[in-house]
Amino acid sequence: MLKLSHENSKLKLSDKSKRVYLTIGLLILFLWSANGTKFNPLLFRDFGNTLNFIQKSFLNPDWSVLPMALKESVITVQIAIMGTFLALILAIPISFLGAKNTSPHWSIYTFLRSVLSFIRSIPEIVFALIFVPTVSLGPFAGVLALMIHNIGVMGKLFSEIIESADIGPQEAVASTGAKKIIVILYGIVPQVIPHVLSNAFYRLEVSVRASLVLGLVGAGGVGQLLSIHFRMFQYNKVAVDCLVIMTMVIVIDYFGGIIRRRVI
Amino acid sequence: MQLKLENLSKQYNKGEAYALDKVNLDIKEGEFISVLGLSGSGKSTLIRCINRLIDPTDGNIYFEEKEITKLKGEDLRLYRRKIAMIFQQYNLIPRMDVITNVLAGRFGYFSANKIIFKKFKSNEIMEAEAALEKVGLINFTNRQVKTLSGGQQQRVGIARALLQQPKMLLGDEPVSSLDPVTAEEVMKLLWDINKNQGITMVMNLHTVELARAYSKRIIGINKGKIVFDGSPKDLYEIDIKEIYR
Repeated sequence: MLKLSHENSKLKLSDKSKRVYLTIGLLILFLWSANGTKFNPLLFRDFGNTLNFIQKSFLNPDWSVLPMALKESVITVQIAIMGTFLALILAIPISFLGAKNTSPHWSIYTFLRSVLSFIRSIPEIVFALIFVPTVSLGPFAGVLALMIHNIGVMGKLFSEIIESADIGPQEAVASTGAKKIIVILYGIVPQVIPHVLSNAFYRLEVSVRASLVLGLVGAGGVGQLLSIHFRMFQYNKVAVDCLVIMTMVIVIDYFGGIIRRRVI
Repeated sequence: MQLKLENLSKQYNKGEAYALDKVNLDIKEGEFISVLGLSGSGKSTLIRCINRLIDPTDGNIYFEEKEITKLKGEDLRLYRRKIAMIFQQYNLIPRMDVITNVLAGRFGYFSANKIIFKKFKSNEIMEAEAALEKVGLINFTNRQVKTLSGGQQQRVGIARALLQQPKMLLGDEPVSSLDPVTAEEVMKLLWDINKNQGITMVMNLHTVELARAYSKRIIGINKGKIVFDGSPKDLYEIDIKEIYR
């Protein structure tokens, strides 16, 4: 009994010291980051400037740019549609070649999956930064950048969907003596179509938001308009751009959600 | 002998227990065989080795005196056409209508072009309808399969198997997901097909009663080994204990 209570108190002590180490560790992490970001509570004094700025620009929008902002946001959506649709068409065959259960050879599977992982790890904006100076300023660069990144994302996603398809219908079609291509088309495809479409719509929503950011580096759309207004200090116009963007994202997410629920 | 298994073994992963352990089995044409055993006993593996959905690790399989253990590609495909299969979860093609699912029984005979563009001839569709008539679903040809009950889906599975014009029909617990009354009806249908068309039946079943009622020969499997092989009248309580040990 005595020994037991002794062990217990030792355990408590080590628990306590663990907590102390954790607290000290977190504190060091915090101070290190505060130092790096030159964080100074006194700078909150300038917060008045921010409120002033919001009052002057955002609460005093220049509505004359509204037609322009709307027109450009349509282009943003069109960039997203092109960047998603082209990627979808290319990702479907790639994903069948890159799925373990449908790939003609393990080397093709390994090669494609590593290429897809590599592409996926590069953000859209990096592709845009490459295409804007080399292809052209404007929407086409945005479409290319989105397409390549989306191929990486969708290719991996679809491959995994194909790999997780129920084996049952595949066994059923295989046991009739059908060719491999028929086993894939009838044993796998009908199962994966809804998941593929649902994910494609989700990627479209994500692409709309991504194409906004791409606009900031000159790849067209309302993002590019925003960046121009911002750089010319026309904050009253920036306010309108932001409102249009917010509305657009909300509308797209709403309808995207409805469509995705319908497909599944 | 229609089918002969010689020292058939299957080990899924190195170091694991054998799912099938040196199984020897002779099956004559036209037999109705029930296979009994606990889940994990190896009865699904046994049935899938017969049509080579699973490749055995060791041993030989002979079908109509020809060795089929190592068949590949086109040869394997042509062999599989002779052996149809029905499943516990029916495994119909989702999002397709009943008639297309029945026609799938001929997918081993049709060209890819014909299947993909649905260029089925009228006599082929009539054959499919005749199979649906036989299983009592002639009024369901254009229904989506997901709208059917379990018993109806299994009947579509059987019609698909019939269209394959198989010499042997394998069943992996074909009535385990059905209520007792529907299960009896489906077993009766299989019994009729066996009697009238002489198609050999090898069915994994989940109850001793069904096996006794419908088959002429019962095989009991325990831990990958055959522990009983005989007629229902020779299956005593002690044998059942041995199978479900």
